[in-house]
Amino acid sequence: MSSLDDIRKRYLNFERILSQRPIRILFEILVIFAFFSFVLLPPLNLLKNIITDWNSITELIFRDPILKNTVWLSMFRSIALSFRIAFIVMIIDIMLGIPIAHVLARYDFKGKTIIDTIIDLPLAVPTSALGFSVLLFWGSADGLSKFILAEEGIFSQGPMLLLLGHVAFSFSYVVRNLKGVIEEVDVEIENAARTLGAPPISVFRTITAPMAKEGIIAGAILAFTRSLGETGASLLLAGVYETAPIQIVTFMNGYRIPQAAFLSVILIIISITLLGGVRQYARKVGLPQPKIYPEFERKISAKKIAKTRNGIVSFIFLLLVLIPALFVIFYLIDVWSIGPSGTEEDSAFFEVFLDSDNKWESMQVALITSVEVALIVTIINLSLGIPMAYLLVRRPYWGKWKVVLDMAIDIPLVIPSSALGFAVYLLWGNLGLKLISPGIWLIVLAHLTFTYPFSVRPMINYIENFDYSYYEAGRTLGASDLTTFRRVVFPMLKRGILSSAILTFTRSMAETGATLIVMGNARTVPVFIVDLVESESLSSAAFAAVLLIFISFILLLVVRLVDNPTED
Amino acid sequence: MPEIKFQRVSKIYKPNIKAVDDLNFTIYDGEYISLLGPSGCGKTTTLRLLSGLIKPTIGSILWDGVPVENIDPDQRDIGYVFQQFAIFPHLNVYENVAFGPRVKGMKQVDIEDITEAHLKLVGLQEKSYYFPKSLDAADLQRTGIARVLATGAKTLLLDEPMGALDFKIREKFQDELLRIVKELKLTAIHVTHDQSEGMAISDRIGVMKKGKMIQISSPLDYLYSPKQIFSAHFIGESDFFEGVVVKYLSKTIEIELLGDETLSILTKTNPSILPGDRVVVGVRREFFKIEPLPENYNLEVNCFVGKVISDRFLGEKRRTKVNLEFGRTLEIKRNSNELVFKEGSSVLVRIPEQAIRVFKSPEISLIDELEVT
Repeated sequence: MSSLDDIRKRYLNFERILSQRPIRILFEILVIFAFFSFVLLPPLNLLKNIITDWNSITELIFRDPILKNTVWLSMFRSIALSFRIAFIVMIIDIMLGIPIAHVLARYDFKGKTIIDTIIDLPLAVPTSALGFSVLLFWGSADGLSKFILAEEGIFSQGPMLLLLGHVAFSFSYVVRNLKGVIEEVDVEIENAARTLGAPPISVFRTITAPMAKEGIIAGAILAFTRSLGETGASLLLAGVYETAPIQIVTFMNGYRIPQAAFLSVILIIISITLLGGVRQYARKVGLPQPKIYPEFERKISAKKIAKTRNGIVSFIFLLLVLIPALFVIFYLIDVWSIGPSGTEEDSAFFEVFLDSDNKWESMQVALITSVEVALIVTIINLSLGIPMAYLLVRRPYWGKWKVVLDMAIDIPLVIPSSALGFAVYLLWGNLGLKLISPGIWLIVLAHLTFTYPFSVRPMINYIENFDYSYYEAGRTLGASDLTTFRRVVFPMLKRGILSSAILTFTRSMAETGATLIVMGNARTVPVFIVDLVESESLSSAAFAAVLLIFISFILLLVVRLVDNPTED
Repeated sequence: MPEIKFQRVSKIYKPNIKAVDDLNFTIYDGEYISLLGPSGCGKTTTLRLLSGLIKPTIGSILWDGVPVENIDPDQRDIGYVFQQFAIFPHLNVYENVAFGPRVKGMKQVDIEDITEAHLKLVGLQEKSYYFPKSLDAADLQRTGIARVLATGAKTLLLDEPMGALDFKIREKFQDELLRIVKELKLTAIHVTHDQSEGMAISDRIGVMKKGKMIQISSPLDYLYSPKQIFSAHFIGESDFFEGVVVKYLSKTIEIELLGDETLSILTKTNPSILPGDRVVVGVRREFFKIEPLPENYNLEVNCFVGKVISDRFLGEKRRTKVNLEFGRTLEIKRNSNELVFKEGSSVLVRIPEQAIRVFKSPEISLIDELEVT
């Protein structure tokens, strides 16, 4: 008994020693240093490489003796395609997203929870699985064509399919975001406007939208960057076309390092300036709203019209997002025992379990790799992210550094992940520090960068909402800083930490673009799906996609349970 | 058990905002002190300075003569009771109370003994396995008090401990709190904005305004000899008149009040007040005497003639508004069983000499001086 008391006492003393200010600050410097070297250093190093090798790189791209500037022209084409698609996707997402988000945020109706969950479903579908599903639905004879009795897919691979795919995977993120934004606008203010005589549309246009302006713009940015950076689905949908992230992968596969570096830097610079600009600009400029057309707006606010509008929006959502995203499941059921050719030879079951190339075994290996990577990434990112978030919210002595750090955290969000993956390869791989060669550990390093904001941002939010008086109570009751963190803060943030962890985990599980660059001989499931589609084993690809969807869906369910506790 | 001394303590937040400004006072061992004042006056900041959760910008706080600025809150041996309780939601009542002994590294047997003793002290032994979410406000605050006492703290810092409790339960809670504090011979510093709570519970009251300590003395002193206009105004209700000292006799002074008409008032002499000084006269509203105006009335000293504007019944009290002839409106607090006056009836208002307090005119205007924000 006394020895146990003794150990406890020593441990508390140990925590007290670690809580001393100099030690704490040293630890915090380490956390910042880790953030810097894992997340910021790769893109910075990439930039440095471009600058030092400027002449030889530009010669390759602009003044090649044989190709002249064709490399640059094809880069320009891919960048232009990426931006065009991202722009249209952003507009579609916002136009469709606002009515749905508004209904979900403001009205109570039967089945609201179900619809809410359905909207979130595509979140659980990793982009390469989703791209495959969209390809099947719109682009193959087994998809929508079957129902309208057409012989071929409605669209062939190319910009149109890319657009449909990007809308399908980005839409849920945007709606989720917009819903939160609209919920934050005080409903009493809307009610005040209604009682003053404004019809619902006018209220939204003149009251809700201006108040939610920054959130709506953030939603638009989200749609834009998600589309701009996406690789996994695009690979399957692009056909002969190339978006910028795909082109990075192509360059990398041909080991054309300077070209890949140059394109990555262009993408990084454009994304960051664009976003910085939009953020600056968004605060200053109001939405156009001064004029009110009471008669017209009252008419289009009428119940019937509102219902029709919601009906149309829901139909478009079903057609553009939900059905295409989940179509692969129906496809798998269809081809489970009899394949597309009408024989057993290319059925999903035969291909995966009975065929001579043993796909089930390689699928298992890929799955294990995916889970391993995601687990390691989650653990490292949380252990770096929680102290970072705590530091940003609760350590006033970091002063101006906090503003810098706070902005820097978001940088990986706007960089296309294949560019990030390339930067990671260039820094740690055999062309840079030569520390780690392509394979599972390089995948881990690449995933650390783009999942970092996903683990820190929500943590910052949770810590900001944490009532600091609990911490103060712990301190005044005699617990040291570290003991209070362990006994009070940490247990109270448990839910937040868990849901942050699952988000990081699913992001890592689903990623394709960066993985393709740094994987070497290793395979994760999303990459495996791309491989299967490219080798035209569609049934097995469907199997792998559904497997991945199933895992992600379970994780999503857990997040929802954790985030919405049912107690009082 | 310490004697706590504030020495020229200021807490300055960035652009020259003085949360507390040059505090100098001593809290004696075993005292129950209340800090009163309008919101934003610095009373909570004072408490947080004592707890070590924040550090003074200037000056020092001495515990038995030893400065404590560099002692962290966990090493200070104080118990901080929060207005919103801050009972750890993930721990049950027992574990909340056991928290202090645990983090101080006590032996397991001692932890159990101490926790049980303190649960008993506040009468929560039946609810020791309840979680905070199933307790009402009073039980939450009982847990809060048991929790700080279990650390062995001899100094209690109470930040509006009854602020979140229902009005009806407060009085009972005050008694419980006072019993515990006196039984355990604790020193308590209690922040509140409820003056009747402060009056009922404390040995001394400190009234603060804009970061400064205006007065610190016993509750009765505020009633009968407030030292500052603000403390006379903030504790209880008073009416104030501005005037000039015109005559200075051996035992009385004569003050001419400002108004349409000049009237004189006689009162005791005050060593700090000289002839010709501008002064403020304060009278507590319950000390005015009011009677129907007699016929053929001859003006007497310290009496005013006026007309009743309203005479309203407010439960235990009656509030009579009188428009004085020289242009002032008075509010007079009377017992509800006293004579009722009709609106418009002429009355005589008498101010008993011992009810009159004379203060030097403030440097700022009287309205600014009385402002409570």
